[in-house]
Amino acid sequence: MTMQVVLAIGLALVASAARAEQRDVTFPASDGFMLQGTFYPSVRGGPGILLIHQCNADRRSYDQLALMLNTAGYNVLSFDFRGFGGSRGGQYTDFRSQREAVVEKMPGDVDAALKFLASRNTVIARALGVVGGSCGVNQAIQASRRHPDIRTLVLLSGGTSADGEAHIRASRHLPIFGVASEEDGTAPESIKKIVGLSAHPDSRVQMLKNAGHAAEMLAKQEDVGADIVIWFRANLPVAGYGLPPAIR
Amino acid sequence: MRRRICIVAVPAVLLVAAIAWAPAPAASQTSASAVTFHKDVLPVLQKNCQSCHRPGQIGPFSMLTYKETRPWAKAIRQAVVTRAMPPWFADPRYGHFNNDRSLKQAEIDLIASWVDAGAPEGNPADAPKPVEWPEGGWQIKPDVAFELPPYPVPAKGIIEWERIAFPAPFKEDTWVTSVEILPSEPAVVHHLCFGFQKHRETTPYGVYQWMEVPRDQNGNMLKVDGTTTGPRKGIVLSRKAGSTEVMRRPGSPDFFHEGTNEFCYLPGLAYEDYRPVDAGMFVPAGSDMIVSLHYTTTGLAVVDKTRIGFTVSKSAPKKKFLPQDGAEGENPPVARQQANASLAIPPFADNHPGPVAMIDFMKDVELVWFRPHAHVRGKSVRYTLIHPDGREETVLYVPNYNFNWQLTYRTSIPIKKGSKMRVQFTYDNSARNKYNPDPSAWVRYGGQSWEEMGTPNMGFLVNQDEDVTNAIIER
Repeated sequence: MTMQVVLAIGLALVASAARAEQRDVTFPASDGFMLQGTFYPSVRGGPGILLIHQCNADRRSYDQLALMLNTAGYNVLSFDFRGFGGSRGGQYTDFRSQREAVVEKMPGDVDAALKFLASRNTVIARALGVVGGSCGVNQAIQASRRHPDIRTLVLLSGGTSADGEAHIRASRHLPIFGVASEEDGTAPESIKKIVGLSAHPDSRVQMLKNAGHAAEMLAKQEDVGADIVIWFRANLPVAGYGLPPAIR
Repeated sequence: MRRRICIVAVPAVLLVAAIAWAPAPAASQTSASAVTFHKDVLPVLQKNCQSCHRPGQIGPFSMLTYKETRPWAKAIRQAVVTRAMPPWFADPRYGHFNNDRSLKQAEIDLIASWVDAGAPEGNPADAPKPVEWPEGGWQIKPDVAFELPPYPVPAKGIIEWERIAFPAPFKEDTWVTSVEILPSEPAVVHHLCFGFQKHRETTPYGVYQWMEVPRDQNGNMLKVDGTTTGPRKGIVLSRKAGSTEVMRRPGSPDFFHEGTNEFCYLPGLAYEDYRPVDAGMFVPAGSDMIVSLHYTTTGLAVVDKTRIGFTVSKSAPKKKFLPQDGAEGENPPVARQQANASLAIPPFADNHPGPVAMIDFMKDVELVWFRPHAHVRGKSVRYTLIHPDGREETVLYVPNYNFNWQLTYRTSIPIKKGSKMRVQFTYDNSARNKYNPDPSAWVRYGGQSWEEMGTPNMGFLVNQDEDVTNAIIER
C-alpha cells in the first residue's frame, strides 16, 4: 500500500468520525497583531493541545494530526506564527526576510495561542499539551517554563537553549515524547539530548529512518501521528484521573 | 426526568459473549503472508476491542472497519504486544474469570504478524458479520432507561458524596438482570452507585443530601473516623434537584445509602450483567432507588446528564443477587471502620499495606464478581479465600491496580459456610506513581481521590428461596 493511500485512509477516517466542526479563528497577540489558527473543539469537554509549526511550514502541516487528536477527544489549536500562512500582514509578510523580528515575537505568539486555547469553553485549562516541530521545539519547551498547566510535550526534530535544558532537567512532572529521523542532520542528537535530560521516567525518544524533518515525518511515516495520539492518551487523559482534582 | 423505552431484542452483549467463546485462532494456522484484516484480525477486534473502540465510546479511535483501523496498526501492535491493551489487571496465575478480555498469546502473535506484513486488508468477503451494537452509546440494550437530573459540576472546589432518592422506575415487581450507567461527562465522575430499598415516609424524592465534612486547606478530613460520607451526625446539607439553593440543618441524614454499591459506575467499569448466569435482583413494586453520587472537579465547569439502563425480567431467574453491604449501611462493620480510621500512608512509601478486610460467610454462597476499589495511590489488592478447613487460596490478585480502569472480575466460586475472605490492599505514595498528586503528604482514609480507601466489593448469588439474613458479615 502506498503512503498516499494510507494518508487518504487516515484523512477519510478522521473526517468521517463523530466530532465537532473545526473552524478557522483569529486572536490577538499582546501587541495587537492578529494571528490566524484553526480550532478543533472536542465534543465533550477535555484537555487542549497546541500545535506549534516549524519555520519552513505553517499550521497546515498539522492538519491530519489535528484531526486525529480531535477524534481522540482533544481540543486542538494549530496557528500560524506572524509572517506565516494566514498570519501575514502589516509589517510581517515574509519570515525569510524578517526572521529576527518574527523569532523575537514567537514567545508572545505562543502565549496568545495558549490563552485563546485555554479560554475555550470546552477546554480544561489546567490540562494542556503542546506539539512543537523544529524551531517550534524550543518554543514548546519555553512555553512549558511559563505555563505549568502544560502537562506534556511532543517534540519533533529540534533543539533547545541552555535554559530550556535546565527546565527539562528540573521538570519531574513533564513527560516528553521526542521524535526525529536518523538522517536529519543534528535533529536526532538534539532530540535524544532533550529526552535524556528529562526527569520524568516515562519520557522516551522514537528514531525513524528517512522520514524527513519535523511535521514531514507525519506525512512520510503514517504511524507517527497514531503514536503521538497514543502518547497523549497515556499522558494527558481525556477522562479519568490524570490530574488531581481542582480543589482551589 | 424518567422515561420508559421499548424493549427487546437479542442483547448485543450476549452476541459478543458468544463470539468470545469461539476458539482463538492458533498461531500455527497462519503465516505472516496470509494474515489479513478481514479474515483474521477483525474477529479478534470484534471480540476484545470494539466494545470501547467504536464511535461514542472511550477508545480514541474506531476499530469497526479496515479504513478506521489501518492508520493505528503500529500502535495497536505495540499495545497488544506489551499487554497494555485490552486493559486487564488480574494476575493470570490465580483464579478464572469469565470476562477476561486479555488476548491469548496466539491472538497477540496474529496481530503482530499482520502489522509486520504491512497490515493487509484482504478480501472483505472474508469478514465476519458486523456486531450489532446497541444504539445510544449503550453496551447493553436497555428495556428501561432512567435519566438522573442534570448535575452542574463546578470548575473548582470539593464535592462531598451526595445521595438522592427517586421512586424506582418499575411499576410492578421486577427482576433487574443487567444495569449500565452512562454519565455524559465521565471525566468528573468518581463514582455513581445506586441500590433499591423499601420506601420510607422520611425519604424525600429529588433532593440531594450530604454531610458537611470539616477539612483542612488541602482538602483532607479533619476527623478521620473510617466512614466515607462524613459524620453520621452533624450539619446536613441539602439541595433540590434543579435548584442551587443549599439548605443547612443540624442532625442526621433523612436516608442512608445502604446497599447502594449494588450497581456502580466507576472509571473504566462497563456494566453489570447477570443474564449469562440466570440471575437478577428483585425490586418489589414501590421501591425507592437511592443513588450515591461522587463528582469531582477538573477545572472545567460541566453539566453531567447520567442515564441508567436496565434489562429486566418479570419472572424470577434461577438465582438472586446478594450484594455485600458497604460500610455506610445501617449496621456498619464497626471493626472495619476502626481499621480504616487507622490507615496512614507515610510520605514516599512505595508499598504500604492497608488494613486487612475480613469477610465471614455464614451460609453457602456463590461468589460471582470482585470489584476492588482504591484511589489514585492504590497499588495492589489480593483476595485470599480461607476455607473452613483453614486452607488458604488466592482467588484474585491485582498486582497493578489502576484507578482509571476499575474493572469487575467475573467468576464463579462456590464458597462454603464457615469460610472467610481476607482482602489486602497496598498503596504507592512514591513519586514513581504517576497519578500521585503529592508524594510528600501523609495519606489517610477518606472518600476523595486524594485520600485513600480499600473496598473489597464482591457480588454473590444464592438460590431464590435462600434466606440470606446475615449470610455475609464484614468485620
